[in-house]
Amino acid sequence: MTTTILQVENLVVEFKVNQDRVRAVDDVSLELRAGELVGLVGESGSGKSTLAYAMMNLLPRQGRLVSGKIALATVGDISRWSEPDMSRVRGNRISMVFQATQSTFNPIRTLESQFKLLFRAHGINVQEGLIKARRLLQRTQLDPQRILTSYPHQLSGGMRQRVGIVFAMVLEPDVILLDEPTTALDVLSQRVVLDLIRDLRSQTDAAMLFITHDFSVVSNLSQRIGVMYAGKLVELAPTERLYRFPQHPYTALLTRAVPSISQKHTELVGIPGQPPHLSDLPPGCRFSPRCPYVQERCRERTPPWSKISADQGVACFRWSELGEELANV
Amino acid sequence: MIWRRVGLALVMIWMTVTATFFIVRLMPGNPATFELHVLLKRGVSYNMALQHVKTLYGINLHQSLLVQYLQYVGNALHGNFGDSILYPDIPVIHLIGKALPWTVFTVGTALLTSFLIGVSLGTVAAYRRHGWLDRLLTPLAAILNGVPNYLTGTILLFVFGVVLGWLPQNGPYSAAITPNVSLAFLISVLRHAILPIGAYVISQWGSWFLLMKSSTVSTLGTEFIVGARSYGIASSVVMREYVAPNSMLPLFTNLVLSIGFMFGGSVFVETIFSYPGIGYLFSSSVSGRDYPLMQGLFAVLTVAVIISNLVADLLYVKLDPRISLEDAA
Amino acid sequence: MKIETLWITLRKRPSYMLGAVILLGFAVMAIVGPMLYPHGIPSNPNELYAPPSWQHPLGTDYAGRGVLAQILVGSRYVLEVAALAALFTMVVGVVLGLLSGYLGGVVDVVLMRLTDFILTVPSYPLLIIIASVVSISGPVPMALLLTLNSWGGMARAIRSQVLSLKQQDYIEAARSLELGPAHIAFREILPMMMPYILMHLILAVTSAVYGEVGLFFLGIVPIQSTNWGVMLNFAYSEAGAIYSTSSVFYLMAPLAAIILLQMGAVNFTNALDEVFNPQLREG
Repeated sequence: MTTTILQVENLVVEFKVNQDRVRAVDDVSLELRAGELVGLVGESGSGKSTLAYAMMNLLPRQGRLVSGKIALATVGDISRWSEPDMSRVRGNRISMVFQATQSTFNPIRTLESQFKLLFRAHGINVQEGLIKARRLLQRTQLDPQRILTSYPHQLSGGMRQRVGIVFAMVLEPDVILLDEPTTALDVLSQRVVLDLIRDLRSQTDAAMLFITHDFSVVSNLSQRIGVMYAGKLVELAPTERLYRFPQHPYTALLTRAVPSISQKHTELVGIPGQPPHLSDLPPGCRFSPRCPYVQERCRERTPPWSKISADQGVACFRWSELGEELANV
Repeated sequence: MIWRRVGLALVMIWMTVTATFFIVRLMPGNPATFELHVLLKRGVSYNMALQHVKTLYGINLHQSLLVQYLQYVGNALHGNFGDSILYPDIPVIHLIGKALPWTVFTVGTALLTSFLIGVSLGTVAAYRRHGWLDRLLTPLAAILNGVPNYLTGTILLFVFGVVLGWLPQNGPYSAAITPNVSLAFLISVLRHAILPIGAYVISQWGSWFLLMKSSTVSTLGTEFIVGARSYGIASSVVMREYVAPNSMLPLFTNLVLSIGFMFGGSVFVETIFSYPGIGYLFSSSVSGRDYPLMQGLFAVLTVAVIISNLVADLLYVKLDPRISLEDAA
Repeated sequence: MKIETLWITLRKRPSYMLGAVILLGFAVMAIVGPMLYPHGIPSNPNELYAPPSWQHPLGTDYAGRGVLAQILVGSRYVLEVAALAALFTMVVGVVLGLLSGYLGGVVDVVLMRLTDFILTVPSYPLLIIIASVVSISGPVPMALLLTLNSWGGMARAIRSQVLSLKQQDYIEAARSLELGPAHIAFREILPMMMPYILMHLILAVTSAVYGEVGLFFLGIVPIQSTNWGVMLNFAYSEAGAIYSTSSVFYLMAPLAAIILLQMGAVNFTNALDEVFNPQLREG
């Protein structure tokens, strides 16, 4: 059993939308262990990215962490830390790779000067830091000299994303959050970035959380996978087990579903209906309106989190009786 | 590409010189013919009168229009705009040379001051949107923005020069002091410059404030600010290295463009304070019907603006790595 | 635009209502003002620089004429010229901007070079030179002169609006229906820009007031009737009022009128902005 690096407990995040409060993440608990990559899968609006932003304390202005704990083994609970304190752990204890739709780099500085800024921010010798950055860039199949002297707009989306990963890794953080790192890339660049993540995962002790809406992207990389639905974590299990013996009806349907051709389309073939709006949640289990196995109690009460084993849990009343049936969906 | 820009600037300069020629030469009741008639009425011989008009305007009235035009352009290229009427026998270009430093000093200081005030207050207002400073300054800036400087100048002169008597009402320095390199002279020059500079600043800072505020608000919403925070860059560094440079970039073009605008606006302020710069010279040339001086001033002012625009374009390419000269056109 | 929407928006904030009331007040003043003094403003040599009184709420000037009366009478010419200038600016700017943006090609290049030139030339000096060479008489030539100064910015702004509207689907659709360019430019694109144009119209009025008053202030334009610029000019030249503290009302009244007008314009355009772009005002 490897050591736990990050423990998220009962995390609740609310957004202010117009005058209403909306729960984007509702009572989610999750732990990440050293050297492990955990996938977090969900449709858009399921709260998976919000979870990552909350863990970084980078929620937008309308968002607020209401309750819960985000405990790093090295520094303790960071959920209530102030911005100056957070800036000391961001990047070198917990870091993030963003969706590549927009650049997260300063458009008017060279990448070298941005690396320097990163090292100075964390009190690291700039020359030593740059040597490490060069080594990592080499590993990503990029020419370090060319990259460092470039401005962000001079690189392709795939190259920028690889540099983004180097940025997130160069200070050897405990935890790396990857928020849909390949979604905005073309197929070829996706391949390269996924291979890079696989390669880096085997070289580091850091725990990684890989967030995606596409089950197939992460299933070859991850040790465990969590499934989110409408702000709730509905199931968490080792990849192989989750795929072969899903315990939650949503997981079963999701893993069997073929994503529709259009990426933007959130509807998955095989699951009728749409995920609920967070401002208009059904009572009881949030999946109940779409669930083929729904019972009366599912519509009345929220199913509790049932821990099946040390690395597996599910939030469904009927998990033990449905197990067999779901495996054969 | 550089040559294309330079070529365009040259075409504009040519257009300016041509326009000044035609304004003076071809307008109904044009000053050159008018002057000729005045001299003839006074009993001056036709040849003498022609000669006189020629030295005044660089125009030979008995020659064809084309020859007159070419001679005029030739003279203008040598900086020869003829002699002043108001200040007999002094070449126009000398008068301009003597006035220019006063205007450069006041306009330059005012531009820099209002830019700094507007940019720093605008940044604060953007960071603390809807805070008390924002609520106070935004409407104030919207009202002062574009209020003509003859208005602010008159109020300043009346309040501080007349009612309170704190500062001198006119002139570049006290008549009691002979210009030399002494502290007394320097203080006198500064005291006389305060009100003119103040008049520019009060009517100018609002536009910088509004521009900087909206620019900073949009920069703060960009992905790379979140990116910088996720790398653990401290807020103050994010502001200095990311927010400020990116927000100020679009203001830069306006800064250089407003140099020309402020030179034009110096006509009012320098008239109010009898400040012996370009603007004062211009308004006295107008009231004294000194057309050669008017022409020369107008040509010099316009050429200065054209050249500063060219410099702005070329510098902007240096400042923003994303822009190439082709885009800047 | 519906008048009701405007009314609802105006009632949302006191500053919007204030803006509308101020602009309306100036319009009424320009129409009614001169009617109050059909025989000119009486002067009284016994009341030079009199302090405010019931008869002269803003005191009197160097000739014993009421300051408020001059402001009221003077508003006609100032606002008439400014309104005309704003109108001319719109017409020239919209037509040239539409042609340039919609037709593109050589027309665009030529028009934009011309626009660049007029935007580059220092504007006040140009106005002053022309005003000193050509004799300006009456409101229309004065408005035309001010238009020379302001059409460039307008044409530029309209052009970029046209360029972005051209990309929209319904314009593409209109083109595929082979509706003529004039039809598309004036019947399809122009109506979409009306809110934008209306807002700039109000701002064009205030900047025309600045230019006009400035020219009178410098004493370049022949003086035909009392107006705010003439008052300012006299305060400096004729009476030396600026150097005497007793002339505070005479001097400050035209300035206050201009600032009040600007305040009205800014607040009212903010209200229009909210009517046309409600989403901009949130957050």
